[in-house]
Amino acid sequence: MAENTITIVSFVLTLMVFSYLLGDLPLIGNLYRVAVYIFVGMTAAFTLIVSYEGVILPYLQDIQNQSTSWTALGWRADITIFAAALLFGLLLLLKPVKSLTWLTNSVFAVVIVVGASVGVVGALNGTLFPLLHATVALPDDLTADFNALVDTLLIFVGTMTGLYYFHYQVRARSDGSEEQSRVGRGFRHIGKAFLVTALGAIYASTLLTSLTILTERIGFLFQFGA
Amino acid sequence: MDEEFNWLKYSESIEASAQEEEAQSSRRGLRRFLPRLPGRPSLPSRPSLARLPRLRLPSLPRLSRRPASTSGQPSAAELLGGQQERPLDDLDDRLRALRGRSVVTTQPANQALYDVDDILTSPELQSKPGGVISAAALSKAQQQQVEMLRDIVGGPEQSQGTGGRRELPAFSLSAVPRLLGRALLVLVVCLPFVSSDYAEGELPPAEFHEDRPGPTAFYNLLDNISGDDTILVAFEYGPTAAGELDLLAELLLRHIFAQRARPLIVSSNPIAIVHAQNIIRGINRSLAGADAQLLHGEDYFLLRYLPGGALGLRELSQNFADVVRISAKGLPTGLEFEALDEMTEIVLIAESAEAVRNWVEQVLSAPGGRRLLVTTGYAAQPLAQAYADSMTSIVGPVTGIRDAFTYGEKLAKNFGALLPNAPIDPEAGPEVLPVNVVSDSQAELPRATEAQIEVAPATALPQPTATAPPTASPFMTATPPPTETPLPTDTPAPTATEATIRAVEVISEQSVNIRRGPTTVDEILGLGYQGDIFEVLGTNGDGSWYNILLPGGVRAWIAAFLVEERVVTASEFAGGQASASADAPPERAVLQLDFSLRLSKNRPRFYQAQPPTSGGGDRPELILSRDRGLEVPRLQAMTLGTLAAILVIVFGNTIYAARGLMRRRNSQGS
Repeated sequence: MAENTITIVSFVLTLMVFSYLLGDLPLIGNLYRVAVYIFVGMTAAFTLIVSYEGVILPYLQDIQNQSTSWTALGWRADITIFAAALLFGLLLLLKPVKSLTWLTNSVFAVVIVVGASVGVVGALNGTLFPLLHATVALPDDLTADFNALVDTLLIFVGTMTGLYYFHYQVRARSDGSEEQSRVGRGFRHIGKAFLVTALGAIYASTLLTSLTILTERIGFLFQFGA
Repeated sequence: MDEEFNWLKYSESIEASAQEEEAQSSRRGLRRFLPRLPGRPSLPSRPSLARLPRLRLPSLPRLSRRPASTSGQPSAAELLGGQQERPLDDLDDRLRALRGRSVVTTQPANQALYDVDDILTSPELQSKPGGVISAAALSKAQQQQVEMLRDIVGGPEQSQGTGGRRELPAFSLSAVPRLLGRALLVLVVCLPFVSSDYAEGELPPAEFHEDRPGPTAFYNLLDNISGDDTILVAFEYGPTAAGELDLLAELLLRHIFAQRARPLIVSSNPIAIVHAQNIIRGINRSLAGADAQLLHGEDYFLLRYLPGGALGLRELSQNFADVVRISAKGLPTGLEFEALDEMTEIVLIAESAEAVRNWVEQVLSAPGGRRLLVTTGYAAQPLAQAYADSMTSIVGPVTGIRDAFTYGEKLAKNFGALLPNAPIDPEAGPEVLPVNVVSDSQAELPRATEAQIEVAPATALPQPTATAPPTASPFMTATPPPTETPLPTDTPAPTATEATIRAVEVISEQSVNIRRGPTTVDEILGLGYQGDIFEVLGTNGDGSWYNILLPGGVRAWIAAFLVEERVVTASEFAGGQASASADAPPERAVLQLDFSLRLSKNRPRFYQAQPPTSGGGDRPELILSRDRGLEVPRLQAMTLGTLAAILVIVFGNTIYAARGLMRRRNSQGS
């Protein structure tokens, strides 16, 4: 019974979402929105439940017990962190009070700074350095691994001309105007070609993703009809 | 008192009006590549110089607005406003260069630098609310990329915002072509579901292409995990990407469960945890029998949600022991791990490039030798491929539904089962069935293939329950109880602490053929040399051929008179392989690429008739019970849909260009 109900609800919601294909009709558009709002609302509810059950509640239980510790820092650190988190949460509630908005912004600043620092360190160690190394690394035997050589050259040319396209290498004249030679313009066009190719490939990937999801939903509709 | 004239504001207002005019009259999309027709009417006269790039106007002295009549001199505004549009050809090179450069220099800085910004900004700050609408519409990063592509190549402006209300214009006839295009796309995609007559395009191959070693390595690594392993599975996608990744995720989980390993499912997306639970429930539903249910806390673990995106992943890498302590329900898991270093392999199922990047940057870059086995959707594939090409610790990626199909085919082959609805390849030779399991679905298979296999007896396993008959299960019919294998007299008995494996050793001084089937007319898959040892799966009816397991999970046959059956320990096996491979000819090295790795771990396989470790599940059934549903029509629909999309794009741009030409001629005529 429950399975059937779920299937029927899924069928109706799928049809509502598919009404987006008809697009610019106000009534149809509203049906699509209703489905999306249901989805967003349920997602928010699940997020709340999962966060509360899996994170907040165990944390609260842990800090009541001195023998357990949520973090490796110990029970006292847990209490301190909890107090700080509680304080930050309360400060967020002050956002409607204009004169105290700076307090709310301070909380955001902490989150942003911590997040950015973690992101920068991770980006350097996890992405930029490994990819840079791969970009500049030449194959051991150039003649034996011709494809790798071509790949490396393409990456190098694409990187440099791409940078040129974004005007990182444009000089400024004394009057403030920018100086760019014909060679520079040529580099820009090459960089542009690389960018168009790369972004086109990403766009095609996105299209494939959409088609995959579309076929899955259409398959579901046919299964339901059968 | 004269009002002071603000030159800066005035110039900005002129620019704004000029940009608006530019937007109306600019040649966008394919029109920009069309030749301008002669006799084009002159452009509107206002404003003229404002169409030029910004000329550093703030540096000029402020002017006072005075009536021209009072000074007898025209004001600057009047001078500018009175200018007539000059044809571009009349401009000197410097002005034309400035004008050309203005196209780029007027781009907002954050757009030109979006990619750098995207990398350097914390993913936490870019996070969507749980990835809610990420598949219902383009993600932020995808939108930026599409907008950038549009800026570069031209094209009509569109609003792709995921937030905010979309204003719905009244229906007009101009919407008909667009509706027809969408209807055509949907109709074409529907065709394969209606009739097999529209089955266009070839299905993906049964093996990953040799030019893509990543997916093959992915499969082999997962196929080599042992029953004692606990493997971390990062579920980084929610229901919005279910259509694309559910199939892959289910296959990976079934593969892990079938290997008797336990997945620890973790995610920085709270909805993904709920979704993972749903997938495992689906697997349990397919298992149908009460004895074969996967149990949370025994067969798998759903760990608590990692809040904070990248911050949560950083917590995982640094405080792994704390993370695994609590389940998603907030209950103790009983798991005791000290650090993430104990996870040598991490499986990542990600829908977005951001998720891939977060895991690489926050988890993989942490100290410790671990590998990340990456599975992605198509949208994240370019980044994942770049990572895999650059870093040896990243394996894969396995991407999308086509790779999922191939993965499923490999699973079917490796586990020796024909799945329900699976296409039967008449040229594939005799199919190998699961040795000690015959399910209801297999009962419909040709008897000739079943008769070729005899049950491989269970080896003397160290577990105290090794001699117990397998648990009765609806999936285990006609299963003879495992018996002790009589050990050859010249073979030392295995120690009680080391698992053994039934194997054959090549005794022929000449190389021997390893074939696809148990006859001399079957295809030769490779060569065996004296001293080579292969794991035994069973024998044919009269015992004249051994069914053996080759590296990579390929099943093959070898003539019994060329080999000698033995029971060896894993260490003996690995040692024998190491010494044997030292002077191996080149082709032999290919054949035994990961042989020692596979056997040294002595992973328990279902055909060794191991008793269930928990829950009474029969592991091959995890593969056999998979319902492939509309997998094949979906693949064909994707092929047709791709063709239709290309057709619509080309047709739409042709119409766009034609309309531009017609408008120009009309304006010319008027």
